[in-house]
Amino acid sequence: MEENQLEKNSNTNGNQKGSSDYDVVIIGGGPAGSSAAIYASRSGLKTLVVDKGLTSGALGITSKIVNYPGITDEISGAELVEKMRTQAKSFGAEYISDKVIGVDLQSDVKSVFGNGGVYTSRSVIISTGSMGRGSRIKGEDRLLGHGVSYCATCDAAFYRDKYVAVAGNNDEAIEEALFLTKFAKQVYFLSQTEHLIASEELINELQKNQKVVLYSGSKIKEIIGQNRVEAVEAVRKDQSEVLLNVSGVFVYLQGGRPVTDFTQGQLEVSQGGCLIVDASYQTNIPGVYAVGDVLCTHVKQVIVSAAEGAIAAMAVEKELNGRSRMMVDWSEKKQ
Amino acid sequence: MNSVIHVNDGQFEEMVLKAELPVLVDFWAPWCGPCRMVAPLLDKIASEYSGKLIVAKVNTDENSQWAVNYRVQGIPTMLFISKGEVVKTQVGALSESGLKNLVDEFLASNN
Ligand SMILES: Cc1cc2nc3c(=O)[nH]c(=O)nc-3n(C[C@H](O)[C@H](O)[C@H](O)COP(=O)(O)OP(=O)(O)OC[C@H]3O[C@@H](n4cnc5c(N)ncnc54)[C@H](O)[C@@H]3O)c2cc1C
Repeated sequence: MEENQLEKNSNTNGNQKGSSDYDVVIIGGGPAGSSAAIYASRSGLKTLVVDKGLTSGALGITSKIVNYPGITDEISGAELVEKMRTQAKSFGAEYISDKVIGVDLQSDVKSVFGNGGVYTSRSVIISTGSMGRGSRIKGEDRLLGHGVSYCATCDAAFYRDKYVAVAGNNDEAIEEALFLTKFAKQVYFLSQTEHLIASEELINELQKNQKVVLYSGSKIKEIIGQNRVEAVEAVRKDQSEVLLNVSGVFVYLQGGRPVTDFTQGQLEVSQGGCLIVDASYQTNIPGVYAVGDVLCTHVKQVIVSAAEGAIAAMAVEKELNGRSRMMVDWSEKKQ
Repeated sequence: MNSVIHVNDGQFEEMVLKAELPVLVDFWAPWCGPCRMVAPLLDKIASEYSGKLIVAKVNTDENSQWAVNYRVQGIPTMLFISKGEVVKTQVGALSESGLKNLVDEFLASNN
């Protein structure tokens, strides 16, 4: 995480009453979050989007998008997300690259905790998508904190001159691996897919780094160690198995579950574990909304996510400005 | 009203291991986001459980000896120590209610 960001935010005390940094903090900057950011910032709300990576979301990893209205040129999902982000920034929304790990939604001033800082706001929109992991690697839970980690910025210093493994294939995993190279002796990067899903520059940086050994198409089968991580056993694309002696394993794998772990039970969920929202996408906590794929009842399409983001942002504006009805953004009015 | 005490390597034995009261020790570092998340919770717990529990913090940047002894490799790591023995370990930040549950269980197991 950028140092200056960290300094800037490290003094913010989450639970202070009264003042907050933003009108709305949006967690996740995919099509749902970025559409919310467009509407929120255009309506004059001080808007921050906290997102952990362009290729960490469903649209970011989609190679081609052909059914988003108005986009007729061949375009990748990542390019479409970038366009949405650029549009939101043009209306004043800020973006910060950080992974959200916790929230305090109960107080009037909401706090969003990231690995790099604490962000406070009057309202929160959750749009983290549904690429959360379900299953764990054998040995992962048992060795958490004893070699298994999900945060290089937090724990890299414990691996000075040691061998570590990173499991993942997106920009989040690559950035964390590059951060680890500042401390570790060697970083084994195990990508479950043959190709990495990130920008060319980032992939090049990883490939060029002398400390990184890339194992593409390799999946960690087991994390081994009695009391602390001693090795990982991985299966390579040709089905051969490899044992790598490491002291640490940093895991950035994804799956198909709604990403809600950071809410730590603060929001009401259905029996099936889905966040419950009303017609304006507000959760059971006033001022806290959820939109996009993170809602498991939702139709997983970009246009649907974008629409939900817009509705939630208008609802936030209505609430914060004490209006009785949502204000529709007709361009004539603005010009 | 008690507050969190900051303990260095030299003081650890006296202030944590030989303490009369049960102790919650948090191994942390200033650059760790999840540590910042639990910090206000620990402050709260220190005052709410005043007289029943000591809440101590060890900055692993400046004091690594006990972190190494306890094989701490990820922060925050919270150890629940009673009469010098580690009763429970919690790795990673958690919610206020989650942390309070752990503290209550820990104190109950001490009685
Ligand atoms: C392979 C594939 C192909 C698809 N093809 C199409 C298609 O052709 N047409 C179509 O309409 N839809 C398609 N979809 C579905 C579409 O991509 C999703 O419905 C849409 O992207 C959901 O948007 P979202 O903003 O809710 O979530 P996402 O796009 O998943 O975005 C979530 C964002 O949240 C961020 N995030 C997650 N966790 C955190 C955290 N803890 N802290 C900070 N940030 C976080 C991520 O970095 C990401 O940017 C496809 C999906 C996939 C997987």
